[in-house]
Amino acid sequence: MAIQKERTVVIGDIDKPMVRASHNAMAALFEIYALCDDADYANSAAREAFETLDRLEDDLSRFVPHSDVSRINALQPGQSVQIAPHTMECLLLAQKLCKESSGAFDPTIGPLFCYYKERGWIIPQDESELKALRERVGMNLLSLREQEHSVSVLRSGVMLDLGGIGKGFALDNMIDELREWNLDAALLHGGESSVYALGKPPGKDGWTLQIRHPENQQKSMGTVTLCNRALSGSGRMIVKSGQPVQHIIDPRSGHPVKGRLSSWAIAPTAGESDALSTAFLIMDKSEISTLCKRRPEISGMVVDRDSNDLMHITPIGKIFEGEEWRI
Amino acid sequence: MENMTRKKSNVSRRSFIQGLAVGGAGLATVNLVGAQTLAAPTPEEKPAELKIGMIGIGGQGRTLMMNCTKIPGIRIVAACDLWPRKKDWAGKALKKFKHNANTYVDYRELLEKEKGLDAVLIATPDFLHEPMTTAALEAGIHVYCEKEMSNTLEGCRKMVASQRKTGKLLQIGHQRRSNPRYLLADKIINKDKYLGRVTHINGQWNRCKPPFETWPKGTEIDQKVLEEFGYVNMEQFRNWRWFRKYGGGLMADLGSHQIDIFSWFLRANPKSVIASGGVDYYDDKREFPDNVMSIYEYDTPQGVSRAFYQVLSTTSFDSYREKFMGTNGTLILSEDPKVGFMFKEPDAPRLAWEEEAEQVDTMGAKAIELKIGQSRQSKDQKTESMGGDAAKKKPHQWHLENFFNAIRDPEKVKLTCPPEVAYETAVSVLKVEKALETNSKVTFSPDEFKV
Repeated sequence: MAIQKERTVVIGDIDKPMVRASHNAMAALFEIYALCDDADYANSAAREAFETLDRLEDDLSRFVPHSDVSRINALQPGQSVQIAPHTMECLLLAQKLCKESSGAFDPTIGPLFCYYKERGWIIPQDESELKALRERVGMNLLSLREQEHSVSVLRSGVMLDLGGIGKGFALDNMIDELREWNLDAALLHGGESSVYALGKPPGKDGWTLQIRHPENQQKSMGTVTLCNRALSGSGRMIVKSGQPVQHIIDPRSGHPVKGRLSSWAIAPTAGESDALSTAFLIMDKSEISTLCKRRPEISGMVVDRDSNDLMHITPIGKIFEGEEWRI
Repeated sequence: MENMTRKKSNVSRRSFIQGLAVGGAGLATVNLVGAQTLAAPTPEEKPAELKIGMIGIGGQGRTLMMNCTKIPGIRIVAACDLWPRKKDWAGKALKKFKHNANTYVDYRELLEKEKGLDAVLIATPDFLHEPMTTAALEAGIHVYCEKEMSNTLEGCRKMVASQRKTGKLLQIGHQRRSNPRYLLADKIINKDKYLGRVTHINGQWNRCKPPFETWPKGTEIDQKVLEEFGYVNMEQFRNWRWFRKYGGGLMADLGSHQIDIFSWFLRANPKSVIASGGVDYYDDKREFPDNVMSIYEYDTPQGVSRAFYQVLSTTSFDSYREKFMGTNGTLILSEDPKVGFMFKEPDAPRLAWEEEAEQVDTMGAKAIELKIGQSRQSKDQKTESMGGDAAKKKPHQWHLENFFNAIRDPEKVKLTCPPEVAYETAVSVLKVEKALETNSKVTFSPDEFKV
């Protein structure tokens, strides 16, 4: 069996027919690897899952002009907009994870992100430049009314972007569809960064995923074996004047993250792992550790480079059976 | 003022410019940047609540249902699907939306038990449209029914008759008829005559490769139930679009949306059609052609126009769009709001809106950038963009709102696709089968379109 590659993980050898289906959505390639003897059956299942994915993109993408997110971003204070049930569900999850990560994950970071992107990721000398932008950032600027399925904003200029959770959330919805098809096992990934392992290949404890080294795509960081769980990885670094700077902003300080190369999160759902891998890029180790103690079904791993240019790999959280970070 | 009427009158040249990128050969190019930040939506008044029943929760039913969740004043109180799997999905999805809907397998039971329904939305295989529509209309309920109206002209005629007999509203789901981008394109072509005389149309829908569908093991519908509703078996139930008994093939499923626009914009029904197509690629049980290429001829008030239309199920390249080619310019339009382009012939007269576009630029509409007098490469001209009012709602939402608003205020709001209009389109579309069958040019008599 061929080894299939994608950015975060490499799937280990599986000795069974595997059907591979792929689809472009959310500006990324989504793939389903299904263990199934009947290719037509697996493809029908995959097609249904991808249909769900397309429907979600149509409502969750800020690049789709009629999406719920675009409609929310066009709101002025005092106006509200009625949204689809899956959008509300995703927003409620985002709100919950924002709180659980003490604000490290925040899908309203847009105005700050644009600021840094335009200015080459340099922290301004004068913080007052950031002040007005930071007033437009914060999940608390969105008022979600679940009963009326409507959303309003408390300030104008809110820029909601579900890019840090949407792909994972979509994978979870796709999994819901796939479960009905009772495939032997399946592995899904979205956007090269989130993976969900549905069931386990026969005779195995789960799907063994190889984690790539953040600085050397040829090197492996070790493996992790998952069954009915999700793994996400984050970390996109650029080098500015010899200093590595993350493309990620800490919503709490308003500054780009420094020193952390990559982070991974394992969680029961891909929506959670997706958002938390971003949060783990931002949170310090003790914060992550506290979160993992409070939510023992979540674990993580971070890779840092210290001021002496030394790399540190730190797994955090409870180690599950067959799910240890083998580094 | 009533909602739909207000929206219509808002359709200005400016919003056309927001909705379509416009390119000209060295004359004017409009680039759009972040147009969605332009106009803030106006808060809607709270409309009277309508109680809606859904009949058919397949792909299209799901689309309609999800569109309804965004429309204030719509409460879905019942959902029905022959396949328990879809029926249960609808019940669950609506519960998440805080609508507690009763779910049914049999539409007759839904119509009998649900009292006080204002309307039903029917999204089932074409052969069921007529019996379901007739039953609902006769129960005193307004109907929104998906296109194709029916897979037989006899079915279409019965639907028209039921509507006339009951006096209830019947909207057919040719949803482009309510789309502001299409309404505006119609104005540009027919009122402003910016394209000059439209001599040719080129339309297409390319979609890659719809599989022969299967279903999750253990979710089969009881064979007796399938037969009761007219299906041979589960396999045909799942793949009804490919069988003559249930549907009208790719031309009805996809082509009819666009061929409907041809007649609308040309102000004429076709005079003849030739076609070529077949089951050339798939090697399974499909009955309908997997590709059709057709040429329609029209006698328009301005003279002869010819329209080429192709529908392919073997490639998705360039997807779906319509190209209206006139002596002064060409307009490319699609339901996809990202696709829209107008080309002007170099010798075409300067258009009035070009002045307006300049003014818009100086009136604080930062989304519009005008570059006059620059010679541009054709790849630049083909800027695809979106924005403006027309991009704020999903394509089906406009058509549903037209229907709901017509229920609320039939005096002010008229349906954009009443059954007589959809009948004409069905005549145009279903005739292609005959052209394929006989491998010859088939003519229409004007009387054929009357019902």
